[in-house]
Amino acid sequence: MSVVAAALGLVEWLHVAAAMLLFGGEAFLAFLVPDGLAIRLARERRRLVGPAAALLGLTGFAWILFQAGLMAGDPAAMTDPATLATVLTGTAFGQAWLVHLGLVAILAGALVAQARCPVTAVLAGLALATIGLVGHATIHAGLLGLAHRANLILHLLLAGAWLGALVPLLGVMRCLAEPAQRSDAVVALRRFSSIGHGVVALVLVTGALNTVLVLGALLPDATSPYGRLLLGKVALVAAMVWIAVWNRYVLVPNLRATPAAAGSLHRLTALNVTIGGAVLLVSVVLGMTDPLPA
Amino acid sequence: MRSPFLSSAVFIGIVALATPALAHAHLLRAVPAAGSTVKASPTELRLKFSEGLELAFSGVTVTGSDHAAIKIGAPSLDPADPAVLVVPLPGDLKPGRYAVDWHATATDTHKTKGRYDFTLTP
Repeated sequence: MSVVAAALGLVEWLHVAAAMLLFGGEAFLAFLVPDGLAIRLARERRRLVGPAAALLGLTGFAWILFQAGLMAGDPAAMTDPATLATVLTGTAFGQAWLVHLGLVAILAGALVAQARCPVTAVLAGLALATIGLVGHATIHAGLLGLAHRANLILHLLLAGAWLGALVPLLGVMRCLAEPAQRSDAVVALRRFSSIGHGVVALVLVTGALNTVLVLGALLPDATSPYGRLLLGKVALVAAMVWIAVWNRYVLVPNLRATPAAAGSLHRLTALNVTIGGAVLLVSVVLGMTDPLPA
Repeated sequence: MRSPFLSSAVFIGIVALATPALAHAHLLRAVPAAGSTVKASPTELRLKFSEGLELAFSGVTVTGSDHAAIKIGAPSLDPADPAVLVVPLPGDLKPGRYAVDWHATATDTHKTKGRYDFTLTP
C-alpha cells in the first residue's frame, strides 16, 4: 500500500468516526435522554462536539486530495487544480462527495449555532448517510445498485447510532451515582437498552447483507486478504455484542444490589467504544481492498 | 418491516439476486482479443471491464514491436455500457506485434492496470 493510500485510509477512518460520534451522540441525546439530563450532557459534550465537527470538515476535504492523488496515480495531482476539478465534477465519487461536504458544512453551522439536538441529529445523520454513496456500494448498476447503497447507508446509520451513543452513555452512567440525576439516568439507560437490541440486530443483518452484495457469498474466503480482514471484523463485532449482552443482562440487573457493578459497566462500555474504533479501522481497510483479486 | 417472514424473504431474494461484484475493474475481454492474431488493421480497441469506469482516470497506451508508442484517438466509454472503454486507432497499423498497456479506475475509485498484446499479420 502506498503512502497516499495509507494516508487516505487514516483520513477515511477519522472522518467516519467523527460522523458516527456526532450522529449517534446527538440522536441519543435528542431521542432517548430525558430533557433535564440531556441539557446537562449536551453542555458537557460541547468540548467534544467542536473538535469532532472540525475533524469532520478537515478530513472530508483531505479525503478529496488523497483520493485525487490515488486516482491520478501521482501524489503531485493532490495539489493540481485541474485534476481536483476533474475529480470533483467528472467522477461519480466527486459528485457524491460535493453533496456530502455541503451537508457537513450545514451540520458544522448548526453545531456552531448550538441548534437543538433533534436538528443536529438529523443533519449528522444525513452527513453520515452520504458517506455510503461512495466506494464499493457503487459497483452494481440499476435496482441492485440502489439496494446496495440503501443497505450500506442503513448499516452506517445503525452502526453510528450504536457506537456514537456509547460516548454520552458513559456520561449517563456517571450520573447514576448522583441522587438528583439518578431517575433520569435510569430512564435513559432503559430506553437505550430496549432500542439497542433492535439496532444491534439490524447492524448485523445489514452487515451480512453487504457482505453478500460485495462477495456474492455470505461466508468470506479465509485465503484472501479481504476474507481474513472480514473475519477479523466479525470477531471484533462478536466481542462488542458479547460485552453489550453482558452489560445488559449481568451488570445492569445488579446495579441496585452491587455498587461495584456501576464501575464495571462504565469500564466495559468504554472498552466497547475502543473496540468500535478498531472495527471502523478494519472496515475502512476492507473498503480499499479488492474483494476478489484476479 | 414488521413480519420476520417478509424480512427473511427480502433477505433471501437479495442473496439470490446478488452476483459476485468484482469491485475493482478487471479486464474481462478485448477486441482485438488478448493474444489473438488479426488480418486487418483494427480501427479501434474495445476493452470490456467487470465494472463501470471513470473515463477521466482510465486509458491505454499502445506500443509496436519497436517499442514506439502508436498514435491513438481520445478514449470514450461505450454509451450502451460504461464498462467498455473504446480507443480509436486513427492510422493504419503496420504488420507486427502490439502491446496494450491499460489502466482503469472503477466508479468505486479503485485502480487496476494490466497489459496484453495482439498481432497483425495481413
